Amino acid sequence: MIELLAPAGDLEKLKFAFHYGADAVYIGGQNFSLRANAKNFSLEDIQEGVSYAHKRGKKVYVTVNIIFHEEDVNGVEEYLKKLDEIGVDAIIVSDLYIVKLARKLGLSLEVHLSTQASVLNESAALFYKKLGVKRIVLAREASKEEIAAIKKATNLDLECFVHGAMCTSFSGRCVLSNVITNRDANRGGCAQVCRFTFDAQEKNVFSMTSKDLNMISHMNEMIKLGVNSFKVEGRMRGIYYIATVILSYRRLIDKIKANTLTKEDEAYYLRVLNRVANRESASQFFESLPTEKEQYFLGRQEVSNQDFLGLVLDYDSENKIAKIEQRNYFKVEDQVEFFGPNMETFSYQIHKIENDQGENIEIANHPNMIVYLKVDKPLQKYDMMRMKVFDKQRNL
Amino acid sequence: MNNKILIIPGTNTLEKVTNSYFLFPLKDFSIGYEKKFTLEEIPNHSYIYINRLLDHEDILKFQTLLPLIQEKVKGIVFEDLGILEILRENKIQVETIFYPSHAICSSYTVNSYLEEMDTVILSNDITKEEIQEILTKASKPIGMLIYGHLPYMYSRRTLLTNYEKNFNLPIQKVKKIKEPISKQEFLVFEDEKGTILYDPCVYENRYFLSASNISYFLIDLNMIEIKNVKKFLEEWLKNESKNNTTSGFLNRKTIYRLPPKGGKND
Repeated sequence: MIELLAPAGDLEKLKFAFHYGADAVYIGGQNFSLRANAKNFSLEDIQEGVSYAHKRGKKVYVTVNIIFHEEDVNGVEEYLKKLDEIGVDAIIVSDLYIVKLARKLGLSLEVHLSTQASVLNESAALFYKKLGVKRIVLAREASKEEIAAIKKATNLDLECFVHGAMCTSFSGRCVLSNVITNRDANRGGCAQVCRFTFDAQEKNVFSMTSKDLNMISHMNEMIKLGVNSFKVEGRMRGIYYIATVILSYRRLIDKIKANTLTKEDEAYYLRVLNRVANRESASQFFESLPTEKEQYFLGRQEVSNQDFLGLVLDYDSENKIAKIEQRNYFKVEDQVEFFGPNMETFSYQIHKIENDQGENIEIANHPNMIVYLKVDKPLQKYDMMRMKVFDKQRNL
Repeated sequence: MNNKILIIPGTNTLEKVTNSYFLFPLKDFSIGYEKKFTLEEIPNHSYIYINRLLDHEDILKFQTLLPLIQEKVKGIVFEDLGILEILRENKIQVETIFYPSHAICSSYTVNSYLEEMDTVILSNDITKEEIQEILTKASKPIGMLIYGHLPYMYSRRTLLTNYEKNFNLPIQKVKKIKEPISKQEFLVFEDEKGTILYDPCVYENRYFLSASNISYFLIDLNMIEIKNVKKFLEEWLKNESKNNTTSGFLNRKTIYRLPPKGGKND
């Protein structure tokens, strides 16, 4: 089984993740989940998300991955039963109490061990397997040797992060946020103190900020090692990021399965992903220990991205008119691209923009304004329009 | 005081106090310690400390130590549950003490682990009220750190080496850094297996000397002058207070959900 697993911070993102090719999503409820300050899912949202997923043959995993304090336990038993009743496919947990509680309650959902447990070796994996854990989300620090050894010794389902932000610390082994901001990192309050700068004795500031993870160049090898689920980080990310990243990995995995992946494909997807990222990325621990090249030394170095220009809401195939919701400034004469899950990416020059009053306008500069473009090639609802940044056209 | 004391030695030696045992950081398997010990160096019936997450090579190497562990070791304090699994598989009869730094914060979690092992050491990021409640509800006696530098972060990266290489600075393995807004300082300690950030102030927990249901008090002498430890022990036994120390999170409750705008945190 090879699964592409996407983050979903709310129902809209869940639907986009599936639309753009995810096999499963992981979500957080309003309690007991890290990312405590995200919008997250109510039980009604979870039910709707599960129903939406199952109708399409896809899966939903719910994170119950805080480290519990005495005051947090109230209601968790009822919550787990409710998730089971809703038909959630698995819970992602890190506290041994929840691993054992799920078994005691006789739930039919699977228990997946969170990366917060930082499993790095086959013996630790066996410990959890004997307690009924079906899948382990390996520590982001796991190298290919460790992945291979764990698979060989346990034959468990293995899930690995392939894309997104990295902690500087082993996950779950950091309370810097607790110390500096009083926000408990292991209950979802992480303030990302590892992205701060610190005074050192020298004139330089001390920084330990990690660059992001990007495993595009190692996907084939990871599949051969026996990794089952390829996980993208980012429950706080927007729909454009999710669509771009998930579609890139979807196309890549499909090409690997069909044995048609080329080095040029890899290079292209890498460029697309680098463009949508707000930090540089590397393969981190997969081949060797990261060096100074996989870190930043001047604090946060992030760029915002205004490539996402519009979302296709409708397409009139008879008149070849696309109804588009604006997301970033664009104007007549701009070179743009359309991409989506059921089409080949194509370039397009904007010759005319019409607003919802039927008037011709030169620029689309209001967030969420509705405009109409004449686009000859067919589009579908939820395709996206982005700034054209590459000359070379490939089939994304 | 009937509870056992586990003392992690620093670079200076300390005479054992009543009912105490040395807990030796094991060479190649521990991190963040100035002084580490091989199994050959430690006396029989000692406790060993493995405070690292282990990789595949470590696991293979640890398995070669099992005969000597069975012969010389009374108990193992460990961070990686793989250690427990190997000891069980090989039927090695030693006391098993789990100490994951930040992952044991409730009696429910404690009791779940206690079904699998002899005892656990509580996390260092809970309040004294939480500790008291856990002690009341724990199914077996449990341990706690009472003295030493608190570890706040553990990375597999060599953070000091990376920083020093980047700026062409001489390589140091210990460095003090300061977060400029909060003024909080950290002691960064790197060795070949990664980096630990410690609180440079020494942590003292004097609240539970007479409490029941405690298996071990842990005293960590890493990077601490011996005269300070002796003073702490004297004062502790007399229940006196001392300045220039930190109580960590004993009197400081953390939050994890930001208050809504215009309202208070629920």
